[in-house]
Amino acid sequence: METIRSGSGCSAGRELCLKGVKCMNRGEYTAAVLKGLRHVTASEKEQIRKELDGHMEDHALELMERGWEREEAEEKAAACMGDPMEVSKELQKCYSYGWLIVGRVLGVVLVLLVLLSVTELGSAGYGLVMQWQAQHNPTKHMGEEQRAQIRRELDITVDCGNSVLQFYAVGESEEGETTVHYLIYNKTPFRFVAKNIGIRYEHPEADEHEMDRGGGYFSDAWVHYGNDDLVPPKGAESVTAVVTWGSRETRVEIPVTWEVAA
Amino acid sequence: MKKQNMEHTRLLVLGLLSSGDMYGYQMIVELERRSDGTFAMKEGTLYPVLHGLEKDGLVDAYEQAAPTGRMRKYYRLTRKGKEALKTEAQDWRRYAAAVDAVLGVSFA
Repeated sequence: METIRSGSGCSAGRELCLKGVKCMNRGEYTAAVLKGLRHVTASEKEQIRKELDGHMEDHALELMERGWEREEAEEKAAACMGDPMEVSKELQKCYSYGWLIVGRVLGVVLVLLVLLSVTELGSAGYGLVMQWQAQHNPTKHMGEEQRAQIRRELDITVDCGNSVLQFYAVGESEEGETTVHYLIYNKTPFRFVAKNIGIRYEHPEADEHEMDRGGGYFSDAWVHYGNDDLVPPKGAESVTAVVTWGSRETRVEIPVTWEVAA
Repeated sequence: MKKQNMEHTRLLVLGLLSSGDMYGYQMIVELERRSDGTFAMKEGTLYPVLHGLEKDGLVDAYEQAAPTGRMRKYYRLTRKGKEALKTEAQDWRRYAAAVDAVLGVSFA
């Protein structure tokens, strides 16, 4: 039950307006208070607006119950609130600028951290898929045309510390050269491939076919795919690839023959 | 003479809320009624006082629907507010008694 029996005895009212003081309605009054507030969040402003407007509504309704017209009742209620600038100035003291800044900075930092986490997780997840694909389906990254040129799949691996270099296929280029396909991945999930791995081939035409050092190999990569075009000596069944990892060298024979489909 | 620790309006608002939870306009009306019109204030200036008390943890607020359906913000004393009121009321009584004593001597 409402306990209010008698209204506010505020003496200010429409008579003030008649003396040259601008009469405000509820909306104008709250707008004048909010206009004077600085460094207050939009949500806090809305709370203040609702509360002041509600107060004037309560006051005006009571006056209307006593026979006042709505417009006059609302102007009286607004006049009874006092100078909006004074209310604004006093309210301002309750809203600390420092905490608002700290809050906003923390909010921005939090958003950045969340974005960073999502990006990092997404990147790590992608890396895991790439590592799995390299080990189980190495030709999947190829286009149709490149895949059509593959003549023989291989599974020749060379351990280079945590990274593994794998020769996974040989093919035939449009120019009739032999293409050796290889990839490098890190055995440890979420780790990039080592950058100090190189390949050279031991046969007369090999000098210009050293490992492709361009592209992204020297960037961080989950898996590095590469290929070298060779012209094997006539009649050779294999060429020797020398894999270098730091100061170590490992020689492996790469078959360069394949069965020709009838 | 001992300086009052708390502004009078804050003390009066805490005193009002000690009798029950109230919304802003209700406090204005109650304040005038209980003081027989002595403590009439510009109604808008109540809100900086309430928000200051809320910021200091002496009152907290909740919303409840008015008969018109609009949500009203009600204020209530916190435990800290009750303790502050007790201390400040004692100080006030001591202060008022001292003033009375002086006035009693002067105007007897």
